[in-house]
Amino acid sequence: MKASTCKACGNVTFPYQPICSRCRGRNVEPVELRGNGRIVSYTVNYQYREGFERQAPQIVALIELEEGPKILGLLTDAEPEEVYEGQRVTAVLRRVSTDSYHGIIYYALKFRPVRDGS
Amino acid sequence: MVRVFLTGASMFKVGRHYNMGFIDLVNEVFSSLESSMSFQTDAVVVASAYPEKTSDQVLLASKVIQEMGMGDNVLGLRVEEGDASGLAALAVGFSLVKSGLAKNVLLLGLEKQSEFPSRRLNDIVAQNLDEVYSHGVGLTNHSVAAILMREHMKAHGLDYEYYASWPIVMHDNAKGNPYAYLDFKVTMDAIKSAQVVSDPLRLFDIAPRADGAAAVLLSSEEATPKNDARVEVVSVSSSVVRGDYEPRLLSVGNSMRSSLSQAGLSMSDVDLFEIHDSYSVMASMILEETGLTPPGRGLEILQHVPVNVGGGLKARGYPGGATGIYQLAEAYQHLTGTFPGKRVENAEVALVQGMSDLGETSFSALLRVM
Ligand SMILES: [Zn+2]
Repeated sequence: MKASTCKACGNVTFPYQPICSRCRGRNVEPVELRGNGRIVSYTVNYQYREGFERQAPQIVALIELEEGPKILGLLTDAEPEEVYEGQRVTAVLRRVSTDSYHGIIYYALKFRPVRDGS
Repeated sequence: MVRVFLTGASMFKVGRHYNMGFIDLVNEVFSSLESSMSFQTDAVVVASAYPEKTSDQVLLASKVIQEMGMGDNVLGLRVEEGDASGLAALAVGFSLVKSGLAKNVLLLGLEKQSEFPSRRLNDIVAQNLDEVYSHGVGLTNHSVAAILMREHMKAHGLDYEYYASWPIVMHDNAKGNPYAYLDFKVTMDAIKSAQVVSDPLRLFDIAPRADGAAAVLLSSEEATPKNDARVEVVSVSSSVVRGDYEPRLLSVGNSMRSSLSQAGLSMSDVDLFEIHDSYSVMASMILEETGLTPPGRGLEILQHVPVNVGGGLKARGYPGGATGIYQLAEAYQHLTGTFPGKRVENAEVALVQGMSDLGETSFSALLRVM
């Protein structure tokens, strides 16, 4: 998860871009985010996109990462009734979709809840 | 300075037009415009967001020019800026007239969206999302809007019923609009018990995407008939602001204030707003940017100022990139007293606001009767 840290104002922009999203300064350096954060808000989606039906139930969360940026992410290894605001999550690589015609499997980052002891 | 006027408008009912292709839709609006006025088109600017995906079509402007028999010397081009394409096309047409390159520019909004099940349409419009981290993982626009709605609710202590006031008023406004897709009344109970799409977002919180075609004619002063009330396009503005998931729409405020200040007017001078209510929460956040309501209470403006009198995206329907052209056509007809549905009396100043589905980019146009 590459982001940019601004050396002028300290702001972290995700995903990485060569210009700070807050002060528009160009003095930024790439930083690898740890992928840990907390759920700010979430929604359970019932209307999937074509090719993503296997994600049901699809839980989308607004996550505030430790380094500062807020991002949207899909939760994995979680049931809707267990999710709550303030819950700790961490990024993991998971399969997101399959192109059955070309036989390609796509992987991307998802977030799983951090439970006590895990 | 060359002045730019809106001199004609034509709309086709937003809906499910399975048996009509792009040219059939164009024919409806172009022939009705031609029968109401005489003009020589110098340029055609097509506003369409998704034709490659929905219809395997490009080169739309050239096809329109040929099939409508506009002549051999007409400039044709298409503008794509997602669901903001309509007002982006206005910016282009406005520039063509201002620069003297064209005396009459036909802005044509065209979109086909109803031939698909929702999972396919959701996939098509998800092209608007960030390439890697939102589109790539399978998010839908609806889920992003749902998160914004949740954040808006929490920030302002609102319950679901607050948002339900929007579809009630929009559906009521659409009654009598012959171009509206959903011209029926809805009740609070029906809205509150409708299908959950992505909680807290329910069916009536989402503008229904459908097929549509609309046209407006932009003319230089010399090409504008002198006898009628003339509608001037005083200013066209835009703003792009990176979304940060805060429940506000900075791009909207920027574009609206810029349009007004160029015209030397303020928000309280606006007699009629046309806004891009892709979701009820968007309507609220757009209207909060006017500064005419308490924070987080954008929808309360409905009690004081006419907004989306033809039903808005919610009930007139949401024809994607063609939306802005419908908004311009409706505003023009209100200002000239020719709108065939519910009317605004004695309106002289209209602010038309259009944007991408989730509001990263917003355009505004200030129209004024001269
Ligand atoms: Zn900075």
